[in-house]
Amino acid sequence: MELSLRDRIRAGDPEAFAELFSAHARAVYGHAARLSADRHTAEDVVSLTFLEAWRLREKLRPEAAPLDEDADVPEGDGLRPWLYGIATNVLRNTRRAARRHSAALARLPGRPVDRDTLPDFADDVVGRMERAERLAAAHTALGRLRRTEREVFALCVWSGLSYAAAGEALGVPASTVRSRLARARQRLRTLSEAELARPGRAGPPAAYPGEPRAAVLPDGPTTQEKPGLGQRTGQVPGGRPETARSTQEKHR
Amino acid sequence: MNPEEREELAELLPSPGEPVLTNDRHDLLKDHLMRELTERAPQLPDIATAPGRRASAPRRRFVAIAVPLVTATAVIAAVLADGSGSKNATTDADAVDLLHRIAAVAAAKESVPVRDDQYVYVRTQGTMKFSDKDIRVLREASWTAVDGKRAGLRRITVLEGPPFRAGDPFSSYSKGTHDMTLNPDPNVTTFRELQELPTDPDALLQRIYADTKGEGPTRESAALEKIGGMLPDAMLLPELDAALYRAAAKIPGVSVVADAKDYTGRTGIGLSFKERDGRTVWVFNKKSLDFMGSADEALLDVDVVDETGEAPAA
Repeated sequence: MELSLRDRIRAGDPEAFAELFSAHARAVYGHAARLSADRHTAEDVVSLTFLEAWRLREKLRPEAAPLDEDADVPEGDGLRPWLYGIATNVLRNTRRAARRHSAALARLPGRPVDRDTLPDFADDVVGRMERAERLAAAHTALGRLRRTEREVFALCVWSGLSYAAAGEALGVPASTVRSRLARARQRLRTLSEAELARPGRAGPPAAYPGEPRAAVLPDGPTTQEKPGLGQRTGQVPGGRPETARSTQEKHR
Repeated sequence: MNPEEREELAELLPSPGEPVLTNDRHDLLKDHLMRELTERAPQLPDIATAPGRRASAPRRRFVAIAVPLVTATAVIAAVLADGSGSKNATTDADAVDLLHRIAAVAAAKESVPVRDDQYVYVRTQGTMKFSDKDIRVLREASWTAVDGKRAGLRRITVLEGPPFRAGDPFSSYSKGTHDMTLNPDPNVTTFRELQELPTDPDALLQRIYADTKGEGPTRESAALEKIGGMLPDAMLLPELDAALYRAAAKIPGVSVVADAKDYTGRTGIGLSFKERDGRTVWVFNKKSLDFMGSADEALLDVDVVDETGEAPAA
């Protein structure tokens, strides 16, 4: 009989963890980056999550959760909620997890120190700054929620988990996820109304697409147009009523 | 939770974007994890040197031979699942970013009302290769019934190619204009079928992966090829159009080409990925982010008209 990935993880087969990593590391990273708003922290959380998964492998339930009825998409190997649950704990107390795996973390290949200060392309800095700003703005706004609400919001809305999967990750029933999310919605609505009512106060940070960053890097030395630069102008939704016909070039 | 609900909630906060773990960091972290695990797994000593170290191709064979069967299968599965394999298969953050911007612009367009009795009109310019020496340049206009139940029309104008000769098997591609009837074909995706596709990017991508299963050299390239094929018609369906780009953003192996050219030489910003024969580059207008076709086939026009053979009103 062929062993399932779940069985092999429980049995401590390193190759099963290699598969697990390939399948889910990017998703865990996205979740961690959105919750921490810090790319370096997010990388550490990825490492710590999988080290913790290895440590806790025998606690993984032998059977997958029953078929998820309100899942938008098939859950694949069904292991993502388990990993998100571990990641959530790591994010709640990153320092504790880091202490537990301090030796392993010390062996982490160094990230280039100059990654944020000496980029290859000047305009790539702009793209990266914009991404970082966007992440930070979302993080700040998320901070208005209670921790438990933040977690369900990030899992359900940003990472796309179903109520049931988020419940599995957080160790609570789906109904709890639903009610926490409802509270989060209420709170955010109330806050934004209050913000609008307050005079002289700017609203929440502009949602993407943001303003052009001309002030950060004026057009000039860079002649080549790189992605992430200068393209954001003129793209305001609704700014172009013309539809498909616009592909027709009149130059012929 | 349905997509509308998710979207409504998402709009309550600024969008965090799609933070991307780059392939090189992914590989470093994975190597690190595998070293940590294998050094603590003395029961499987053979593996200790294998999967953690990222080496070139011979490693795979070595691993497959050296480790117990279960693990060997796993290694192969991992290698296959990894798919990307090569270093240039990088969905870098810029490509994801660009795809999301293209999607945002696409989503903001107005949808065009389309009736069952109309035709989708698509005009392209590209080449057709008959042999290494015989590559013909042609412009093609096609009228496809919206409901797929009536015959359509394909009008080909061969701009560069041999003149008409009696007995030439390819005479319908000789220099000049040729009309051919497109009979209703159940294998052709109709416009109405496109409309039925999910517009949630994850669901759409699952559907595309399912529909292209076993096609193409990799799952990713097959999916991207399929998406590319839907892009012209999808210009008439803003929601699907946006979902296609958002789905593409989830597929590894796409990178940005700062200065790309479509087949007719129009310049734009490109998105490049590996397809069965070399790399494909989708080209977008740098300002409007409209889809302009590919480096191999320029997309000149997409519209809806009432009759076959009828050009859309300018």
